[in-house]
Amino acid sequence: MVGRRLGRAADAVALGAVLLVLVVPVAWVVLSAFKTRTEVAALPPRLFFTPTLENFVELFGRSDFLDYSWNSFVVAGGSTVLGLLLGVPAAFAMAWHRMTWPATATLFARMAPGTLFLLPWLVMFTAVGLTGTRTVLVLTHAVITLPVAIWVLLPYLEAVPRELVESAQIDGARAHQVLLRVVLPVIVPGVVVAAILAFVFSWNYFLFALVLSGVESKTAIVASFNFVGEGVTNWGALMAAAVVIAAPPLILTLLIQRRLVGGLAAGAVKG
Amino acid sequence: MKRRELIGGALSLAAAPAFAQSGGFDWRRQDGQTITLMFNNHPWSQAMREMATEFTARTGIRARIEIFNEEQFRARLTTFMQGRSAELDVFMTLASREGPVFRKAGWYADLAPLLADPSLTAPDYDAADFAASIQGANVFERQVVAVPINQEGPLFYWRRDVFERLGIPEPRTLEDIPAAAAVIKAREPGMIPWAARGLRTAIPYAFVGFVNNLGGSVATPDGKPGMSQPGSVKAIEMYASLLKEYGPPGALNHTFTQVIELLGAGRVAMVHESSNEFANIMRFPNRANDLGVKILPPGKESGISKPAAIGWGIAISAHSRKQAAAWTFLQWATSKETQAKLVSAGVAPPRASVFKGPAFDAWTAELPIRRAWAEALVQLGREGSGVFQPPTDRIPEAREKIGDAVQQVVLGRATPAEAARMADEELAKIQ
Repeated sequence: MVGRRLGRAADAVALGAVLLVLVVPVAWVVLSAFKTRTEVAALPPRLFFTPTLENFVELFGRSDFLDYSWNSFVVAGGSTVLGLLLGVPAAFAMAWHRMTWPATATLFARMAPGTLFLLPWLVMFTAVGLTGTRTVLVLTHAVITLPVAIWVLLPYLEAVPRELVESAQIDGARAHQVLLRVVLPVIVPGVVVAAILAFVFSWNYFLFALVLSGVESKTAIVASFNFVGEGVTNWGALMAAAVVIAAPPLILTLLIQRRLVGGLAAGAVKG
Repeated sequence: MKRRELIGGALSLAAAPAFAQSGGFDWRRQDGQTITLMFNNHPWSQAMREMATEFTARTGIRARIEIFNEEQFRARLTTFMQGRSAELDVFMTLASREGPVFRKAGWYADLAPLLADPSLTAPDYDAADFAASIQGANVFERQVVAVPINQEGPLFYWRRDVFERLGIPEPRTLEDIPAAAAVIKAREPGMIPWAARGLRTAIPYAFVGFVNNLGGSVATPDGKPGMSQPGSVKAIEMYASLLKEYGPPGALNHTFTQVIELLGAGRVAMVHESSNEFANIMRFPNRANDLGVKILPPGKESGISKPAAIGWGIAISAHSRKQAAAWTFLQWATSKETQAKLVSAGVAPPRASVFKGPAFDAWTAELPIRRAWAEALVQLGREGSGVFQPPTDRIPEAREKIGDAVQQVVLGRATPAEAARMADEELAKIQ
């Protein structure tokens, strides 16, 4: 009995410690976004204060952050669609033919440091006049979204009964018809998970947009650094930007939380 | 002939034909062009963004201005330059830091021929009006790599109200600073006595004044690393001790952003931080009334004050295909007229005529602290030094070695003499 109570107390302490590490920084950021410039820097930090929206007014009223957020949305959305358009058939082919090396190759591309691509890309895209456009970001972010799509979808596709595909083939369906009409409806949950993960990773990616974007195509995450300057850092606006940037991935993750866990665990156990 | 005179001469010669021509300069010669400019996030850049429409109205040239935080600015700039991209026409540069490397890489267009071309340079541009000490950092073997946009250096800011309340006299010598910090620490527990840059790469900017004022030097007279000289060792000891004994928690991760936040929020009594931050500090409540500002006090024995003095400049990319339009922007942005307007944004003008002009005078007359800041800048321009490290092309690395010596002492891993010896050994390797 005593042992059980001690165990529960230990669990509570462990949970508290984890929450402290995870929740406090986020709470700090959110609270700071609603504080005045002086209150943000106050030490010890004030838990009770009169909230202000001045940082959000600064963000959306006095800077072009809304445009930059829209750029992020277009780039993350576009690269997610591109990643899925290429990734779904690719993953289907890999799963069907039981080839793993192409998937591994895409993983290497994803794991390679982004700086490796930057210079050649800059030269290439400048030559074709794409540097500084949102198109270039959509294309380059496919390096992030394509491996995500393939790796998330592989276990779903491997779980599709081969008989199902073979029946469709016997009925005369061609490869693209098999994929679109037979396989895709079965793996919709996986596609949703892949889409959301790809969107989140692209949304948060910084480096390619830093170098390849232009004045008008800057993404929100790159623009947020403009609040750090020689002069002084506008912590309030920076925190407000952090809240705005974190919101879409957070909302999407909450929406698909259960599917996400299921999707990531799919294929973990064969049977 | 001294280097400074040589530089002044080179600039005057380059600009002479421009002065010879009278009137009639066509500002709209590049009408219809669009140029791309990349700036570090700086009060000057922010002001430029606001004024870009004036430039377009006058010249017909459209300016696409990109502003990034310094770290990101350098990452983007160097990638563009390495890629020999013609997408970028104008960029901000700190030639005292990156000048030798950028020049060796062939990234700067030479401005000397542009300055000398009367069809491209307005007759009233007056290049000789720039302070020689500032423009000197932009000239390498007669190649003019940039034109100055501001002048800056670290200044000593202190809370006059705290000093008055505690009966501490205003520091007159460098040695008075630790003494004052000790009193503040003992009697005003809520107040951090001292703050300065503690981040390794950022330290030398604020630290070199301590070295010079205490009779040391970052280089020996024959150009070898000079950190082991007695005055330099004393400087390491004092700078490290101020951070360790009287500095804020986490001081070794601090650069100007943290120092200025602390000063602005009223949590620190003394700092040694950039003159360039003045306008931002003044935006915090009460600081215009309770702060004092002046050049770092001289060493008791040396009697000299020689802090860092630098200036950002704007350069034209060697890969730009619109150099004439880019030069039109450089001229406009560094003209007497534009620089006079920038004064109200707190940008210290590098032009002597603007510094002594009515606009600057009227602005400084509005507040006593502005006057004190302007006087400190005059002294900084006269006495300051752009040299933070022994002679080398690998300037950022050299500064890191010097910053590391200070950090080692703060962390208690080495005595000042040991840290100085190690720094000298490391610095010698990159000379």
